[in-house]
Amino acid sequence: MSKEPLKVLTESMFYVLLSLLRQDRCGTEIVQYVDDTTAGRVSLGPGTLYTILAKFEEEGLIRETAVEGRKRTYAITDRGRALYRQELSRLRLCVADGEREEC
Amino acid sequence: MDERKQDTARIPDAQTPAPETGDTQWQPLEMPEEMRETCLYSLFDVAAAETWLEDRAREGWRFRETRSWKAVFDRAEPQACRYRLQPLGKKKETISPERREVYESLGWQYVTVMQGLFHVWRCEDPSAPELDTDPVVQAEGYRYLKRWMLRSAAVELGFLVVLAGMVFWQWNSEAPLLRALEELPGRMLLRQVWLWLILVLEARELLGMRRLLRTLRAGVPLSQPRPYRLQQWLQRAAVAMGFLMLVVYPFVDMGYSFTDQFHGWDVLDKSGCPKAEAVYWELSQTEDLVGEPMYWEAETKVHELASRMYYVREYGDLEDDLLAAAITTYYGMRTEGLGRQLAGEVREEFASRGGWEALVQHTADGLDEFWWSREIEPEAGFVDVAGGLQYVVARKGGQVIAVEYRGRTDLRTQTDYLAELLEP
Repeated sequence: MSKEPLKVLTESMFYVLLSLLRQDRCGTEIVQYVDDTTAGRVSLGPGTLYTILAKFEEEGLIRETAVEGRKRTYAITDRGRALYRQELSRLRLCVADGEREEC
Repeated sequence: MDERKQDTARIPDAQTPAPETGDTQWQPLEMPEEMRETCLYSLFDVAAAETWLEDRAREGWRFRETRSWKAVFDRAEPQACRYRLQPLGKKKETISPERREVYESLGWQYVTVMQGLFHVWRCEDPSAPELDTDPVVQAEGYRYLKRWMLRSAAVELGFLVVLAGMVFWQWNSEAPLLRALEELPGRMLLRQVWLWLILVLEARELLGMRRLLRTLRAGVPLSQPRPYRLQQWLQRAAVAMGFLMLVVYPFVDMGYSFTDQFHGWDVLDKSGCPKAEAVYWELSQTEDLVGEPMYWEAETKVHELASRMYYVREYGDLEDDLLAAAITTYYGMRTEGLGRQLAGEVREEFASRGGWEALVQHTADGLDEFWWSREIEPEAGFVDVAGGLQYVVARKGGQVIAVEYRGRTDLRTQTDYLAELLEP
């Protein structure tokens, strides 16, 4: 709801950034990637996808690279990569904390 | 409440096999192809709106569009499907073909924009993913709508403040009860209903916004199903009251005084005299008239605050070509308290008139109040009274009478007659 820049990503946001790490993708490809990668565990609804894409574009985390007919392709920016790495580190810390407690 | 367009359609009557062939028989049936139904009052109850559209789909009505306060549905096969409202991301946002294609590939069909605030999507595939799968992201999508809601809430609060100010001003202005009685019967009640309805509607709108904002802030999904009938009735009431206030109300102008228009109906009998039930000062009882009295006007009405009111203007000839006149206004108020307040307001109203002495209270048997005044400069000929005109305000219980009188009789000596007039 706020206009503040994203600091923590939700699971859906994380996977959208992840889907663009290695290659540019369009909307359907992002949905497909998330579904395949998580084996259907994370479902990305179209409303959620387009809200994320709009938000990421607004914050400069991704950019539109090509428009072919109805297909729009997105690429991750340096800022997006930085946020992805930051989120990954945070998640690693969370996992490490959890595992330490379990041991 | 539903308006069903009377287009006819040929649909199979599966229950009735044709006698010759046993095949499904085709019979022309009067089936409406289109149905219009009142929208919900507040779209901020998003889950209620979605439930409403889904219920209609199950009944065989597929939502097509909204027109003013009506939603238009097309006849379709009854089926369970999902409807989702997605807020516009910016003003007059349109859905790009690419976005539409992606939604369609995931099972969601675009329907329309509802009231300029929400895109409406429909999904007939039960296995298709939800439109919004992440409540935090969903809340992010409400950013534009949130700004819109806050602006709207500020405007509505401002409107409520103005309305409250108007009500306060009205009840603190001069003679509010008297003014209310001068209006057309029913108008005050209509205004009260209108005011309360506005308050209820505004309160519901604001509460709806608050609930939605809190839900979004908490990052929890909107809970479904939600009841929506009350919202529809509120919308109907709002439309009906809007019609009454915008179309009917202006035709009945306000602020008439008794001297202009009583807003009542005639109470004269065939001979041209007021009917027996009318309460008024009869000149023939207190003056020696030459010939029969005449009546300019004799009207009556009932009011929300008065069970009966009369307004009678009577005149008659005296000797020496002088004219006697009595203008009587009678109010049978519903309670004594109202009668007391009205008597006070009538006195205050009279005090603002120039050329009269101040009203003075006199004790009078059989009356709760008796006030009398006269014109400061008498008209020649009315020798029995210092002023040519006299004015009386009297009250007995909830009954109030005001008389403007021109004649030779001193009305202070006629309190018994007044008490008799106000005898219940």
